[in-house]
Amino acid sequence: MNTNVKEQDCAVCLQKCHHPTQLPCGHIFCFLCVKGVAIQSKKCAMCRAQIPSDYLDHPVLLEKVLQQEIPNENASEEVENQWYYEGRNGWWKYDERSNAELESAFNAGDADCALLLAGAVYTIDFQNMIQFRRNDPTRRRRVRRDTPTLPAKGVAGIKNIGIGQSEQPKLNNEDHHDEVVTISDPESEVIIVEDDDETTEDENLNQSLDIVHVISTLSLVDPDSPRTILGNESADDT
Amino acid sequence: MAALPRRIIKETQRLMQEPVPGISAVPSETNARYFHVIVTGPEDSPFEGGLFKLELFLPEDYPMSAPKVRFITKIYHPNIDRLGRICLDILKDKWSPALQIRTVLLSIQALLSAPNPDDPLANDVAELWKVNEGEAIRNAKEWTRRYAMDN
Repeated sequence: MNTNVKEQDCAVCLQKCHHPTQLPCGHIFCFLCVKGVAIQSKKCAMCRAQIPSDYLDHPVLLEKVLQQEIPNENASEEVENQWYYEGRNGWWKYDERSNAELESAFNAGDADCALLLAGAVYTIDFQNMIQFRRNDPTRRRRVRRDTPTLPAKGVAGIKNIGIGQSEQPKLNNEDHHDEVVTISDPESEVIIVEDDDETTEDENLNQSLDIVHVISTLSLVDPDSPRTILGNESADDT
Repeated sequence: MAALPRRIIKETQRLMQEPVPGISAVPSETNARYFHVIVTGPEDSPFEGGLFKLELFLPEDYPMSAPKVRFITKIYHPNIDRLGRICLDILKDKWSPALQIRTVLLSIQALLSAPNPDDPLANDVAELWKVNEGEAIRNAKEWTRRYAMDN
């Protein structure tokens, strides 16, 4: 079953499903793609089933994530450098796809690199080694380029916890089977996803405020607005 | 300028390798997010025989938001206004990131086969389509002949 999942392309990014994550309706996408739709449309991209508002507190990941695997998973070349972003409690690895894009932009001597992460466009500024959101540059974090072995909290928001460790998810739920992610491989590790949003001026800014913020920003680029229609307004081409 | 996301590269390649019958979409040489589109009018519709030019633009956060699509060729259709803007749910609230350029253009082609005057964008056209469908269809055919056939 899982081999199937691995070979299937994610319908959102059209690439091999990366950290396959299953929604309650059964459809499977990359973790970061799920994060994007869960924040933005809040509907499954395949069937439009509503995604529960607390889904990202306990997403269902179908594969274990071993930190050791990450650097080798990348297809063609060996990953010699790993890019990290700073969260509230430490450094997180970028997912391997973003890492590869950052590396190639960095090695090409570019001043910055734009990434589409979980549905929002981010700029990674190599001069200042910061990441910020394209539509809200006040939302920023530090980034660094280092060896892949640096102690990290996890990858792209997926926290890594070894077997036997007792750490529990922060957002506990009454319902026990909901609180820890279930994984089909019985030997796999427990994966906990942490929402670890950008540092802002206001450290107390909570997640719901953040989402409201995203929505209000999005409404500024309403595709229905006549003014946003493409450049050439002349309707006739004789 | 930012590198093009893999997804856009993949979609573009597939559009070239396995084109949709009756639809062509070619990226601009200067902007890979801007496509020159030609849709042929569907058979058994008043638009049959016409070649309709459209423009399609993939916004920065595509596929989280829908492509922006507009008819350049004038068309007489209740769901397309005189600026070429299209009233189609999947371009608005029914957009899903699992949809693609290909599926969007197929939907637009299907809209030509099935005008929906109850959800109008061009009110005068929709009104005529409802009260006198025969005349509306004659108009649509005439516009097709006039604007979509002599290239």
